[in-house]
Amino acid sequence: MLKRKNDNILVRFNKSFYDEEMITKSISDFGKTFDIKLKKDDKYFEVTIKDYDKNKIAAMEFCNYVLGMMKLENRKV
Amino acid sequence: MVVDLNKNIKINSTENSVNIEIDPAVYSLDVIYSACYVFLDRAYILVDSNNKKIQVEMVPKKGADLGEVGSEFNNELLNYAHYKMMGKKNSELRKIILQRALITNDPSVIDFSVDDFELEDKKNIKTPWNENAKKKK
Repeated sequence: MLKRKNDNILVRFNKSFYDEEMITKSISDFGKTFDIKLKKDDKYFEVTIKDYDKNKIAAMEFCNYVLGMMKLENRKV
Repeated sequence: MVVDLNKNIKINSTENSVNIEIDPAVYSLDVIYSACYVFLDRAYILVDSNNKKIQVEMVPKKGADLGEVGSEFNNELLNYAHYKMMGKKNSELRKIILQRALITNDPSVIDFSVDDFELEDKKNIKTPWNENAKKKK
């Protein structure tokens, strides 16, 4: 689920299953507490969160948060 | 003969995660999302795809049995697939009931009557009682 890159957490959200707006919204909510950055490639939205050991659980919560947001906004459902 | 019921489940005990592979031809994407939402409070979930199959990766929150979580997810998929199928099947009836409930004040607007439905009237309930009584005489 999570990939480690140096000391950062890398979460890759497949563009076919996740909505960009919902990811951006979630980042703005989580961004107050953690250092999060968003990158894009052809197939994935790449979210980088700093400090692997400290924020591992938070990163997984972030994955659920994005899914939850999509349910609330009725995206991709 | 041993049948592997959960052959779409791959357990990764080192990462404490379970990977469920789903054929999109069997379960639609909205069914998969619905099943995921049920598990949001019990596991961390990430949806991805691989080799034309949809992969749901789950990390249980409270050290639950990985195989059990995967099997329960499979059950939930089936549950929502059935729910969706029945919803589709009953959509016309639901529409009629809702229409009837909303337009009860002006019955002339309703473009159907009970006679439109072919129901088997074994006990001859549709015929008024006085006509039934005449027939008996």
